[in-house]
Amino acid sequence: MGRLKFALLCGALAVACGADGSRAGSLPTPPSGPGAGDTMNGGAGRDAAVPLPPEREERRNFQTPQAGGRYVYIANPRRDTVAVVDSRTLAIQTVEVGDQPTYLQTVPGRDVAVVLNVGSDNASVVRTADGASRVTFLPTIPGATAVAVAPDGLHAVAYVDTETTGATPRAGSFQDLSVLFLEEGRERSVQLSVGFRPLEVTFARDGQAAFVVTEDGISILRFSEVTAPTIIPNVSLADPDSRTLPIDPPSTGVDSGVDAGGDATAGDASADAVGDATDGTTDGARVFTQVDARDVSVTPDGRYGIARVEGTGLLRLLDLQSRTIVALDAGTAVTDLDLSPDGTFALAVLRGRSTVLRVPIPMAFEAPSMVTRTELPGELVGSVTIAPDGRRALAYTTASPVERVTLLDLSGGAPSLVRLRKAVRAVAFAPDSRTALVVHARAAGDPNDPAADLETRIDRSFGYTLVDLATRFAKLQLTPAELGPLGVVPDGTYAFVLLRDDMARVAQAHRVSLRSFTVQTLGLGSPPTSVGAVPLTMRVFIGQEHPEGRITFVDWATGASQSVTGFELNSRIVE
Amino acid sequence: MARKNILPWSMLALVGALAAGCPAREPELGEGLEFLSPVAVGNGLTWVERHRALAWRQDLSTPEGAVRRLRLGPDPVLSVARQGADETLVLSRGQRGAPGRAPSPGVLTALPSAASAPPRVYTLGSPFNGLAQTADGRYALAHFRPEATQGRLLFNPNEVALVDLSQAPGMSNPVLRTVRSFGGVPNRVVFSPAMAVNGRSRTLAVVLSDAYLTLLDMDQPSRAEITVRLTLPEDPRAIRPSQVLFDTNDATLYVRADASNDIYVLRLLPVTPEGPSANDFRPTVNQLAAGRQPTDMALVGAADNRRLLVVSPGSRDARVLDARSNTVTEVPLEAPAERLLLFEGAAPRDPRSAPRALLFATTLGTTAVSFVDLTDLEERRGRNVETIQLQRAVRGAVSLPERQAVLLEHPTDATGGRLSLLDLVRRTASPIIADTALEGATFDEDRQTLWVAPRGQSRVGFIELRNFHPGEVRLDGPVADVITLPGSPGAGPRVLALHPSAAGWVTLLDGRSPARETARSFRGFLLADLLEEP
Repeated sequence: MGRLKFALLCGALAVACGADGSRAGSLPTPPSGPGAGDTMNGGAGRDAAVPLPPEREERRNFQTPQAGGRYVYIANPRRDTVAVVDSRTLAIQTVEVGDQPTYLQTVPGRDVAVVLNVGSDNASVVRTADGASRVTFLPTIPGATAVAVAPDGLHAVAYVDTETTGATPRAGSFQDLSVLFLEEGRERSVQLSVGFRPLEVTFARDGQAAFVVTEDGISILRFSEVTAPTIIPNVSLADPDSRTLPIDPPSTGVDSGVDAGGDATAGDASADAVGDATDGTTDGARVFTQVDARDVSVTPDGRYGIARVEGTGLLRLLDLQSRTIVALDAGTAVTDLDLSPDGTFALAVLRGRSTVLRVPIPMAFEAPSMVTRTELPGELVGSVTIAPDGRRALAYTTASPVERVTLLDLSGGAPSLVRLRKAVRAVAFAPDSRTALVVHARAAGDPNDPAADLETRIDRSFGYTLVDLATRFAKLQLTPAELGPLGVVPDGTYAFVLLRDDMARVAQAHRVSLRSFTVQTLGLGSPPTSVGAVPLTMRVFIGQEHPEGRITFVDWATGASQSVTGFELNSRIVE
Repeated sequence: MARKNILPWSMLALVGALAAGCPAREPELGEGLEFLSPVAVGNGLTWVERHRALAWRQDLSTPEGAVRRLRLGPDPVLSVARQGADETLVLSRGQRGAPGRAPSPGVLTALPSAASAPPRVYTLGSPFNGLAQTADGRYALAHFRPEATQGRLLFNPNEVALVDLSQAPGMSNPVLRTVRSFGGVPNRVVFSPAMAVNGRSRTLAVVLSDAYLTLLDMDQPSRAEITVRLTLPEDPRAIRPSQVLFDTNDATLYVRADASNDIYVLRLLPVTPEGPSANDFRPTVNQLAAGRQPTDMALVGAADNRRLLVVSPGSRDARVLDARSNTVTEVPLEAPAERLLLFEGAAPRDPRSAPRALLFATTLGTTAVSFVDLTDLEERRGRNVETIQLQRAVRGAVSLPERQAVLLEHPTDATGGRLSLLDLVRRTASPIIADTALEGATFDEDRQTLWVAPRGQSRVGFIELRNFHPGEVRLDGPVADVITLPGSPGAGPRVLALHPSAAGWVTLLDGRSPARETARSFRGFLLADLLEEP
């Protein structure tokens, strides 16, 4: 399972989300009463003929303000400007950029923003210091809809992100991208050709390379080697020459072949096809086939990529230096895969066996016996999220209204259950790994129905649960609206949860103390769309939907808030 | 009724004849007397005559109402009492040069009431015709009002003069400035109360112009002005700021503007000045939706939870605006309201004294008013509103908060009395039969009595607010206006009825026991020594 695509604060929650984004009414009615689902065994307790839906990842994306160290940047496509808001004084300056600036990213911790001007097919690099901003323009590929900025701020990649934005190039290719070199005074851009449909861009820890996950595989951009337009070959996830090693010896690795959710296993025909990774219809030619790779991650050192193949038990490890693939076969469908923050291991979830595998990287792909397993008999778990410190993880399912999560002690302790009051939709960890925030799914029906009992009303409500991982204390917080973007401040003391329901006129933010679990409700004047932290001024900004532009700054220590409406008017204050 | 005729009326004809027989007469002698409205200051009145640029100071503490004359700068156009001081401020535009007459600059003259104190003359330079002053009377700001012509070949309508009235005139007092313009001219100037911004108390002048406003730090007159636009350049709306409120605890200004459905919230945030002429604060603008056509607003709530109550007749509601959180709470009203009055008191079903508001309309013909309990208003919204029918439309209102009442004025064709007294606690209205409007009504100093002077009638009316007993006093001539004077030691407040007369005619009444028998009349005092140089 990949990382959640919530809009997160700087140093944000590490969140994994398993829900499919469905709204009220799309979930099965949860089992009621204590212990509901306790007797499940790979889906037992339900009609075995009714397949569970897959554990699906929820992706969200907003054209939202982005924060630098002190300033917040908001693109205004209508006016071809970027508003730069000083979080300390709330002074606003508008900076002219290109035509229709739409997609904007900041360099973490620095007052530098990169904005894609979709109307002029270029990018503007906005640098702010002492209240003044300078703009540098760089050409980009036509139709770019996403920009990823390296943590060190020296490079960025602009590409067409069809998955998140639904964008398609006006004409041309899905396989172009621009590498932006952002070193001040030496800015330039280079256009490259990569694999089909870039899905995600990650960067090596040392900032020397970017890894572009595409449908074809992973394209590795080593910046020092990018000097002119060129082709960046893929490292395919479907190399027919790859070895596949079973995790279980043949005598012990047999199961029914299909889990209660109907997931195919490596033993069926489709798995065989993927495992062979060749197209049998071709005449002796060695042809790479399409595989449905999911949860593709790259280790922080840029050495390995790892992915699971949807509907199979296959885990594929790509050696990004040697461009070779080794596969492990878990014997039953892997429903989620999460790479540890340091990249030394991954957790793979076998929902059909209620098992979580710990897969050391790369050793397990040489010696499958190094894979260790945690069996959770009776539990339905299909997703897993690893805490930022890599010492704990939460296993859970988003495919069924199970009202608990399993806390895994990755240092060797026994797993333990955390009982919840509602079904799970997503899980997030605070950056200090002390707290988890569980976003809940909502059952169909009116939560205010007086005929419904308390349990039913809770199930029908939106809400989230805060979990103290050390004590497993859990606190449910119901909300008047579906949870929007959420995030946590860099020091991990507070989380902010945005709530929006335009029909019910709900526009709020919750300021959640991650120490006491107390919640302060902040009323907002207009629907919130984004949240972010400005570390230098210890403020959180909440971007809101307003025709003139509105942003509220909250002192995260005190909860005091200040708002600015009308970026253009504010930028025209003259002294 | 006692009379003090200082100069007989026949002298007027004599003055005219003498003037006509003199071939080299001064031009102003050929003009009639034109007085500005008299100003009540201290124990007397200050009269200003425009053409001769003279001021008469009438001391009503003396039995004869002694007068003394003072020379002013040419072309005085405005006289007002200085706040918090026994002084009259007279704004003179100066004069253009002419054969035999040297040009003279515009000046502001501060005339102390005490005969021993000399006038102070602040040279403004330009022919300003507008003046605003702070509530404590320390600062004044002279400006041009928007008029088509100022009687000069060239003038700069955005020039202003900042005067520190607590200091003597000098090279740096007043300070002349030209405020930045986006094509408009100042319509009005309002001053803030003393408010702490960036840790320092200061007074701000807010110059209101079409579609923008300008902030001036009166305590730092050499610092740059800050101009805040209320519309974008391409916005054709005639956004004219019309009401400004100040939250001194939060360094925040609330601006209501004609033709805007938003309230503009200007929060003054501390900044580090970038130079000696830069300010140490900077405003940020926040716009909050206030319904349709907001017409009045007031600050409510405790200092740490200040909010704005706005009435918007166009959307038939009141709204509570919280500028900190940007939240706006709509409070539906059964009767549209244009004005609001805040008061503290009990209610028919709530004996506790609590903050409340009276909402009413004065131009819509609405016959109902709304009482709004402000406690928990955001949560309770319409449940905190009680509407009562008056059966008559309201045209005006005078708040009597210390009496827990409001005096309402109704249209003349209303039956049951032109005035009524609205009891804010019982929420009942009692008619008061009146033959006058509230326009021009004035309280005496301690607000014991409300005085009215029906224009053209030889009577003044009053209502004793202690028991709402009405009364009237017949005088010897028609009354143009009524002015109240503070009480002198050993005596209560006094009331002056002004009669239309170029020679000066006033009747002095005892404010506590108004009666024709005890009234004193002074006539002709403006002609005393008219031909003598002061």
